[in-house]
Amino acid sequence: MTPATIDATIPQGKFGKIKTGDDDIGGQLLPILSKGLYTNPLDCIREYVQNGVDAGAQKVTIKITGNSVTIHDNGHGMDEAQLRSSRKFGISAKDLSEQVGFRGIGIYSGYDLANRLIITTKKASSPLQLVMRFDFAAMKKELEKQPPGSVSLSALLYNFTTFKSEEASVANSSFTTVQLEQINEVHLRKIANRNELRKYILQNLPVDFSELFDYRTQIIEKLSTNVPGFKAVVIELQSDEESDEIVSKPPLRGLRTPEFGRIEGEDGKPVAYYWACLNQENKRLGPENLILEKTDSCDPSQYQGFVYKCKGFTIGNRDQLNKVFKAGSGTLYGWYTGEIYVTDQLVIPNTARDDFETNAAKTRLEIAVNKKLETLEDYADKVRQQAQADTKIHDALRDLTALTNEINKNGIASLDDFSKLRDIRAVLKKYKRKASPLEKESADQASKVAERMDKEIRTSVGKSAVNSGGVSRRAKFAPTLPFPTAETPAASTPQTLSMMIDQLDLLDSPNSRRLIESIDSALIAILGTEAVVYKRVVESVESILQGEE
Amino acid sequence: MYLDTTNKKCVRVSWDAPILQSAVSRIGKNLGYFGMPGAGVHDLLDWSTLLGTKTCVQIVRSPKNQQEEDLEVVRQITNNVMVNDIKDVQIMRGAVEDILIKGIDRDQLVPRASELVDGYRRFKYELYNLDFFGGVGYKRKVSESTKGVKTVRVKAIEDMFARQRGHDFTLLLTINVRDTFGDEPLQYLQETLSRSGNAVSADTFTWCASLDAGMKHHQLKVWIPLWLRELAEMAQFDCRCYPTVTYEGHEHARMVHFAFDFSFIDGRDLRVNSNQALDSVVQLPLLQVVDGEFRFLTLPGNPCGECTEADSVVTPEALNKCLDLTITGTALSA
Repeated sequence: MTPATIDATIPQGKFGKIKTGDDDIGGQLLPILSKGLYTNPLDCIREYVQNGVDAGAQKVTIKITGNSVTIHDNGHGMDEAQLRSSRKFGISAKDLSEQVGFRGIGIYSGYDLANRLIITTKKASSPLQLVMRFDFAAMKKELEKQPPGSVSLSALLYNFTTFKSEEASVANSSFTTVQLEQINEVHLRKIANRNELRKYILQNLPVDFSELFDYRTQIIEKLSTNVPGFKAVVIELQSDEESDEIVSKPPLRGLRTPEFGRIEGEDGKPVAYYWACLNQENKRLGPENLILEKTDSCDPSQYQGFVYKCKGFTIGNRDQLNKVFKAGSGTLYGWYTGEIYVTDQLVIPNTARDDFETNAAKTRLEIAVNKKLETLEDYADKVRQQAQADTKIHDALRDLTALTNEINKNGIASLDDFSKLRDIRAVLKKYKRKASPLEKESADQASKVAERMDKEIRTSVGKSAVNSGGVSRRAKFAPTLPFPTAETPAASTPQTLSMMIDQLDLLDSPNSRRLIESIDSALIAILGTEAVVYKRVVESVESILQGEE
Repeated sequence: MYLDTTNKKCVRVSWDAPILQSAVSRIGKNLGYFGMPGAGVHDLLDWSTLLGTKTCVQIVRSPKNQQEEDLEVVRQITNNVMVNDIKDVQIMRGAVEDILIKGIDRDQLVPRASELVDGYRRFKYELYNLDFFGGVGYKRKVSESTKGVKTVRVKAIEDMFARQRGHDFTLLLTINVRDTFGDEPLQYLQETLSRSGNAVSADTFTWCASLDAGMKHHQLKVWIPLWLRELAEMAQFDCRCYPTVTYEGHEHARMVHFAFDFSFIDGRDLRVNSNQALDSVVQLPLLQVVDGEFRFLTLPGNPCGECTEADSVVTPEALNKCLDLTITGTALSA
């Protein structure tokens, strides 16, 4: 018996193609993909909003009424061919460079949720609106009653999808309205939870900034110019039991001017564009930064740190990039709020949108972003150090003023005054280099005053030591309050050994300072600062040290 | 495509809107709407500046073919609300009568402007816009048991007053003349008017009783206001009745349109007496809208000082006067 060939057109021993038909794809694919890809009922809302955004909508309204959800957008709408095409399964005509959806299955994301899906759409130029209706309940029933695999996907879509055209209720405008009807109760409960829905929308949709946010215009302008396909839509929530609400990114206040920039890969090609704002208050952003009546509706995870955006949609969450910030276990991460818009088209979000698909482009992006975030962390760290320095200097100035007042009032009471002054001078010296220009100037002035006080104290201590072997009360100091003042005379040259060494900024430990100051005190006590020998010692040490530098 | 006509629009815009505007001025805020806007949501659009929160009711019947039809109307209402960016809209599914009686719709949804008071759901709307096709006597019983059970619309209207207790409102009620009440309205009229002991009222009854089927709108024009007024007074509401308007609706149906203001009289438990006299109500003119124009319909036995000539076109000034006189509470009778 001659063995049968696999197909009449394929010669034995050769590979050949066999045609596939409509019946080759089973209807079960629909529930499998719908349930498998969209595990959260809110994902379905995201899919339909995404379609609206891809259609150029500026506003999307999500209305929950009874057991139905309606998503209406003012995008371009669809003509007959586009509407028919939207029914195709796994086929999408979308342009990846401008639009987010591309898998061609989003329209079926509501399959598991609802009994019916109705899409009403209109092009601005058309006097008619078109309606496409999916009877998901009937599809489910059909799949249940047939033996598995006996209903083709094609037959399922053909038999339970109907179309009609009707006179449009508005002229010259375009829209698409998606209605999900008879939503299963469990899913409806999740969708109808306003707080949960708001949070999900903020996390997953290209929501516009709040109009209360100071930098809204500036950031949108930059993103529109630098991020291809950038979109920011107004999303309005409407439901039966709550008043209408516009969802926007958290309106923040108390932020420094935003920083913008391109993030480039190692090859110099741009992979992303970012904006970042640091908290003015030099601490993590918190509820006090929100311009909201009820700040508890917006938790810090919605605005602290950075998040990836792909054409406005959030990929992952703000925790993911925290690990790049190393200092203090990533403390400085929460000082920032910002977004990183991925511009490299080779970087593709995964279906769950919690990460990108693994490929070389993703790696390139991550390296570049990490590098940029490190520079942002460095900057934040400098800001932090400056803030710390400013605080220390501020405290030192306060202490110096108090000490001056005390001495002016009571004279030198003990060596404690000398010790306090020494500590103040050490703080001023230590922090002035990292301080802000204003505080640095104050520190410089204060240092000079402290230096003069120091000299006078030493002189006084020296005389007292010579006369009585101890410290006695003496005349009050010249500096007057308020302190410091612009009129404070500046010392032109160091007059004591300690002052000279301070000015050269060479003492990096309290012990060396104590040693130098002890030697200096002893020299002053024996020689006095006006003695030629003392002056020569100071000049000589100075020239030696400067020579070393 | 929707069942709107020039006449119906004329009534909404030229007649209802001024009444609603006066209610807005009176209460100092836009009106909470409870009604049946239909697929085209024409009333929501025409009164957009006068309405606040809106509860739209659409019946969804059980038989499959009717359910499809009704759900299609729900889709159209929803779509039109969205397309026209009408804010603060709730869409309830179910018969309006059932919602008024039970306080919830078929999806267990409660009206937005409502609250539970001692286990009873009270409504707080300022405007009801009800279309009762098949008339008030529409023969559907509140429940399956027949004895002692009222027709659903009568019960719904009674419950509307109960649910609105303590909250003033305006009622716009449109019915068609195919009322299935039989002779009961005439009997009601006779009993009511005989109680008044007024000669004019007696004449009115005699005249009403003599009308043939084609003149049923004249009968409705008399008995519906009297009946609603009585229900309102029993529920401690003062009733102000506006002149009735009749027009030819979709598919030549003869429609009769009523408007009332109900003001709750606090501190009363028994029947209250409306400021507008019963005779004034009986003698209110009947207006007709033809091709978008208002006309007085005056017939023997239905005298009216404002409309001496039958079928005369009403000038806008006369129409305003007609409304103003009712709004300000002045009797419109001769």
